[in-house]
Amino acid sequence: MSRVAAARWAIVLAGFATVELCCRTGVIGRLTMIPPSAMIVSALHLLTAPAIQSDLLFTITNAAAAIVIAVIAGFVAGVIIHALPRFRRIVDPLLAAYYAVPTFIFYPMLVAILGLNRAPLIAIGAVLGVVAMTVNTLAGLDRIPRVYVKTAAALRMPRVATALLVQLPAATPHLVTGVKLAVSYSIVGTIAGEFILSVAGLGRAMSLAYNNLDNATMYGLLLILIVTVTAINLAIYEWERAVHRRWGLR
Amino acid sequence: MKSFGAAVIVLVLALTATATPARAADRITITNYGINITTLPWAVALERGLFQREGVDIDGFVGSSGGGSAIRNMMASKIPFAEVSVPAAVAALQNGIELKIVYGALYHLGELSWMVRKDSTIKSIADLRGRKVAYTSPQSVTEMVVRMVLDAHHITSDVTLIPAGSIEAAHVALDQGAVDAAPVEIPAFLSPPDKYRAVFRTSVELPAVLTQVGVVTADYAKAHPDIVRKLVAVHRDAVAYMTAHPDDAVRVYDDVWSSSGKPVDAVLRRLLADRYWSPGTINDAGLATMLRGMRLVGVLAGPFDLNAAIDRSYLPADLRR
Amino acid sequence: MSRRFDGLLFTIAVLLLWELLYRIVGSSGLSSPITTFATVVHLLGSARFWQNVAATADAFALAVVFSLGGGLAIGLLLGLSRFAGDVFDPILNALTAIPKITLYPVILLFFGLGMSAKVAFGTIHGIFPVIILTMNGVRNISPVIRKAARVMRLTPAQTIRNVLLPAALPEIFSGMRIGVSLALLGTLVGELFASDRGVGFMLIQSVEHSDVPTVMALTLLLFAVAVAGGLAMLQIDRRLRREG
Repeated sequence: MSRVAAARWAIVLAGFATVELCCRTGVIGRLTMIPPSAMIVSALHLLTAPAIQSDLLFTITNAAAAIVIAVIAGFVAGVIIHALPRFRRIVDPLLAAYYAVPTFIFYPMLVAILGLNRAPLIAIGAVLGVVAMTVNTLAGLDRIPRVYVKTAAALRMPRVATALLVQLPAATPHLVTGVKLAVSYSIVGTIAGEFILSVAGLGRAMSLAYNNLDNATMYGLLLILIVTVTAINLAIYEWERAVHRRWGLR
Repeated sequence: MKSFGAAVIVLVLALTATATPARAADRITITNYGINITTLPWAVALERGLFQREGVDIDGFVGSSGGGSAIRNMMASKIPFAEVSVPAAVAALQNGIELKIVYGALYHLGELSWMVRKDSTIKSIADLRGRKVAYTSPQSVTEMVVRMVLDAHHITSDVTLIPAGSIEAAHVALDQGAVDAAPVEIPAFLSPPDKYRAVFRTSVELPAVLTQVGVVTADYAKAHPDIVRKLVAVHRDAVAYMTAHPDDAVRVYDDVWSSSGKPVDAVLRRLLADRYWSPGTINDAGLATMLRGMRLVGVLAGPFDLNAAIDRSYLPADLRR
Repeated sequence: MSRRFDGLLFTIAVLLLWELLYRIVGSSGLSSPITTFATVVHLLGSARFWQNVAATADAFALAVVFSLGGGLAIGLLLGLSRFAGDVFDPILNALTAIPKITLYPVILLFFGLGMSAKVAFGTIHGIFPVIILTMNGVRNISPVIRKAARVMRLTPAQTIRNVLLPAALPEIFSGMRIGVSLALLGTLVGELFASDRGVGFMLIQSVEHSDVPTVMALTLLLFAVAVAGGLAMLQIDRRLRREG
């Protein structure tokens, strides 16, 4: 195991141990949180329950769709906005401000447009992730040294070829950051959506457990969520490291 | 950079200096305060000084978005007294929190109705056969209610029940034709009002449903029975005040709810005439219906005796039966 | 000359698109631009609205300070140490993906009911993008630049101030702009849990009543505040780049 992974495990275990101690000694009461060891037991138990399995599948498929849409749409939007500097000047301040909007207010509108199915949930997840991807695409494209594009022009490369063979690879380090954030925000958007448009899914199960004061279920589900998201992020992270090595940033 | 840093420090100091001082009085937890019209008596109590009249120092409420938050907020408060939903109270009791149920807030479900579009061919409950009927979320009060009503008319198996996710989504679904009937809490507040009509009103189909109760931790009740009695009395005074001064109650609603032009006056008078708010009486029939609904949708399973938690001794003598 | 009208053109395009969307979706999901603006005017004239704004503004301002200040400090530290950054990167991203509303009981325990809980909530929402983007910004600085600073024997403080921050400024500011918006959202969400006042409270009131015009009016105002905050930061960003 590498030093980095070992350090990570050490930190996570230290955190677990601290919380476990606080819970067992009563610093953190049972009504607030259950000990991490109990969370693990609950999580394993929940994973065997068919109802939870179908909830998990529902959320994972929704989140996956949201991520794909967010990354592609965010990248395309970033490229278009970057190519239109006048448009960008107007839109730039609006992009980051978007995160202040409590997007749950758009559910009725999304239900009206997309219907009473899982599409509004996917849409909310995507919409939360797309801006992170756009902002980072713009930052990435900004970073491309002008000389690259000038060289491509001097060599008379067509625009699309320039975009795909020169600009895209050069911007990749920042694009990967964008993907990382898009993944996180799309997932949180999808799950938060299920708190509000509460029909099925991991978010709904958590919200139900929360309202029933069923801390065992709620924290068990939270643990499942954290582990899943961490696994996804680790995979992306390894990809990012490979990209950085390729580009000499390491 | 230096001046930027200095500016930040000045800003923080200024903010902490002008921060709102610690509250002198206390707050009690009222679920959905300022959001549901059910909480109007408490708004009236606050705005018209009824707390001071009974000699209790309350100057605001801890609202909450739902049952789980309400119980947690209550437990974190100095005065662990709250108005919560019956499912929340049951959940708390089942999780070992020792509560006493000290008053009942409502007699029935008020104006909650299932609406259809004006041009719909559905004229009565029987016409719902083979149609799509919405409720909000699985295991919600709307699911309980719609199942009980359809069961009473023996048509549940012929109706497709669809969870819309939320009450707004149900409304949109009705509007767009995705469902044929959807629940609306106060039909008169829909705009435009003449686009829909009611296929059934819950207060007619289920005349007694107790959804909200007042609770207090057993420890606190033991230590401060006088305060609990006073708070229950404030609730009673507030309901009496609303009944006697409906115009003023409307004014309080307009103020706290920022209602901007809704026909509150007519709705309020109807609710008062229909005896929506209980002065405190815990209606046994209403409670039984609520528990039946909870079992029907799987919120409550197994034996459970709520009566052990009910304590009518804090109510004024005439409301104890 | 035509650049000046860009903003105007864009606004008109947005308004037209909005009106079109309203015609398609209907009044159960949206309200028209005119109705929304009328409602905004009505709100701005209402005393209760301003009381609610005051209740939110205090908490929001503090959440911003903690998110930006704390996020910048932590992000710099993690960015400077390759090892620390490597270790914490996936952990931070995992924390970002957790819906923070699930942490409400813990926040309640440590911060109690009231203002500090709202500030805590706003901070845990706003701090993560600042940390992550600052950290990534510093890490993405070309090693050549950092070597140059070492060769020139700059002290750590000088390195940070004169080399690292300017080099990573675009990313840092991207993070901060998102951080401010999320801090606002976090403060509002905090109000959904235990408040009887505040803009978040007003928002949930109107959502529950299907009062679409008020929902949209409040959203528009929130968006305007976030944009104003973002613009202010863009100005600071520009000034810093000129100085640097």
